[in-house]
Amino acid sequence: MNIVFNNFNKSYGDEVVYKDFNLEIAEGKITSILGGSGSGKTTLLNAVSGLMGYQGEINGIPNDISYIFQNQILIPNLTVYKNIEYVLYAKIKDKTLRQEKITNALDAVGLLDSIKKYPSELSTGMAQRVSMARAFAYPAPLILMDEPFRGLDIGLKNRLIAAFTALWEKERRTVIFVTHNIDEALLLSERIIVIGNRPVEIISEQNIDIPQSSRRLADMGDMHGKLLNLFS
Amino acid sequence: MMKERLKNILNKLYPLLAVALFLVIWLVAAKAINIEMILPTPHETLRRLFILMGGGDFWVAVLGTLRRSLLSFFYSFMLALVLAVISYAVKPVYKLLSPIVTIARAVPTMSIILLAIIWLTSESSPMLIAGLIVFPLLYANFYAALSGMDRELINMSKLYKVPFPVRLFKLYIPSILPAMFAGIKSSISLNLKVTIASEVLAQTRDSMGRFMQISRVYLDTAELLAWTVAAIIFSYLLEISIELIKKAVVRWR
Repeated sequence: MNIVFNNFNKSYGDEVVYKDFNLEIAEGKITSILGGSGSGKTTLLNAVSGLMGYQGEINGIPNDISYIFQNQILIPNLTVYKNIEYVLYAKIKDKTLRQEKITNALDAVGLLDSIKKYPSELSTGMAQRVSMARAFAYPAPLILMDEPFRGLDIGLKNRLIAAFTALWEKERRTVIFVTHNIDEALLLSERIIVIGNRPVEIISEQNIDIPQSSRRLADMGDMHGKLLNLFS
Repeated sequence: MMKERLKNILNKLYPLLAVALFLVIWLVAAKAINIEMILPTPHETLRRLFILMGGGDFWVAVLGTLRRSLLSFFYSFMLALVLAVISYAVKPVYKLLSPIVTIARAVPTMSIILLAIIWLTSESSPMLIAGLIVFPLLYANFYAALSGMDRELINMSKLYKVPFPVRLFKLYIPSILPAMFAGIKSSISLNLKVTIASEVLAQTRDSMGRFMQISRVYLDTAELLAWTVAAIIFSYLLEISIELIKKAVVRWR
């Protein structure tokens, strides 16, 4: 089911961020919301996730949602395995099934050997991979991503994007990915929606048909240039 | 590496150096005064402590005081924890309790001791007094620990619809444990001090406070100091026990 923003309104005090905003997010695809810092990207995610109130309608939000945060948000007193199990207790009652889900997700992000480690023993990249594994292990049809690659070096970012793509291609869930980084949007999404101004408007939309696994930034120079022009 | 090791050794030596310095100052002062009734030497005090430890009365008094102190601490701990959790969940309760806790903190310890002695028996008054003194500290500590919980972790739990019992045992309780242990560690020795002070005035049977008062009446300063050293040792042992429990429970740091 598509997620449809219908006359979505959100203000912070006197500041109107969204006014009669309309948008449709396609089911089973990765849609990027690209915009500058403070453009209202996270507001959209918070509204979809129910963390924040709003006026208007958002239809098609599923009951269960996975979230990959900018900060990894792992519980310090639980091991990698237990951090993922923590969100699965209510959804997967059978312990064996739960174990299978967790090990599969950790295997996909290359962290099976870190299963017993605590978050304090993980690097930033490893912690973000746990956060991804948690999102994919959780049986939700929608994944929200709030700039999860922000502040990471290029090598690590590319590895994480590859890990994410590998996980996503297995199940093809709906993903809303907010970012201010053109490269990340180009590598991950099938549709890029550029937002700007106040109240927020859709400035541009871009569809990408190339499969994620065979994308190379070097071949996407034109699209990169077009998107970059929108911000200059 | 060597520098780090040297630093570690020095860090362990500092407390010993502080004790040694204190003993030297005590010894010099005792020698200068040269009147045992006013200030006995450290070795005389230690000799009297060993004599006391050899007698059955010492251990009956110590066990009596520790029992009262730990019981009152336990009651205070439970009450503070329950009220802190309720205050955290229900803000009007917090607002209602805030002035009461402020008053409890501000009332002079001696007033509470004297009133409790009038109202209660000599056995129960030290427990009430120590509990009342420690309660506001524990309550404030637990409430601050609950309020300081990571909002992002709570939001993440809500998003993933983690059931409350799982949240309670896997997130809330472990999150507040480090701060709780810090509060417990600093209050448990205060609790013992206040228990002994109340026992002195209430003349509680089988108590360290009563023996201290007897020593004072007979101007037996060496014995009074020996009891004081014993109180310091037991207070230190309580703090060490809390630290060991913390290390066993809080393993992820």
